Amino acid sequence: MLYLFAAFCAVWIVIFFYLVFLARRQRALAREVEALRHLMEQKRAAVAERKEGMTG
Amino acid sequence: MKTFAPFADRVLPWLTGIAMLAALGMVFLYVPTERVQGVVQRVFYFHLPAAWMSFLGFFTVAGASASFLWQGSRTADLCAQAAAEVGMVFCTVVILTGSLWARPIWGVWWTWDPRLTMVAILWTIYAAYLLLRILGGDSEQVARYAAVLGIVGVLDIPILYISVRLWRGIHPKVEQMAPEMAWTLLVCTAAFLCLFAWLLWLRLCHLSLRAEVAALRRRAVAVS
Repeated sequence: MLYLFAAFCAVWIVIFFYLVFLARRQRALAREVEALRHLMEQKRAAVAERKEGMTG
Repeated sequence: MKTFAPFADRVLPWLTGIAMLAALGMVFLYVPTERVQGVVQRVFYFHLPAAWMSFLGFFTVAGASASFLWQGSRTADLCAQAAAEVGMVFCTVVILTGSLWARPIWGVWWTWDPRLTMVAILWTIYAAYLLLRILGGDSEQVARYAAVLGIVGVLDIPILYISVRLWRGIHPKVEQMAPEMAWTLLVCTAAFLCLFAWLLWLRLCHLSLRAEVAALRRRAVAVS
């Protein structure tokens, strides 16, 4: 019974750790997307400022 | 990929959960206990489907890698990478459950039986594949080397399959089973197939998104 319990635990532990690994990768990717969005906003603001300077 | 997305995102996790509950119910409540090995034989209902799913994963790697080498499809390359990871998850499950089953039946955690040895080789080949992908980066050349390794590695599976017949080992081969056992094995295989499809989908989505983000980052740097 002990080995049966251990075997089923092993299955779920491996799958659980893989799902945790996927979730962590997903969070890292979300952070990267956020940084990219921030970079784009900065660039857009810089371009707008430059345009304003040229017209003003 | 887009046509499959609504089904995969909404239906697949629920289907996997329900199928897994049904599989556990059948393994612990429905199927009779095997006369010779006793209760530990129930490991079989997760061990064999996990082995089949690892083979499916590695055949997917080979197929997608061939498609990548033939047509240069980037999606096929991502699919191969995702399938290798999922295949490795199931292959690890096979080794762990096999070891925990072997201890009370054979008296050892591991023995260099032909089939066990072939599984260890298979695990090592795809571990090398994943290391190549992780350490090699995202270059085209690394993707091509990995594709070749992914195709060559799958040749181990037919050898693994016939190893029980070719060389005399102690690993049992499935020949006949009671209808209750066959039904339980079928439900467990369906549950593992759902789990396989779900994990593959999750990883493939993640890899596609990562590739898109990398392309956007390159564009942003080029613009600046």
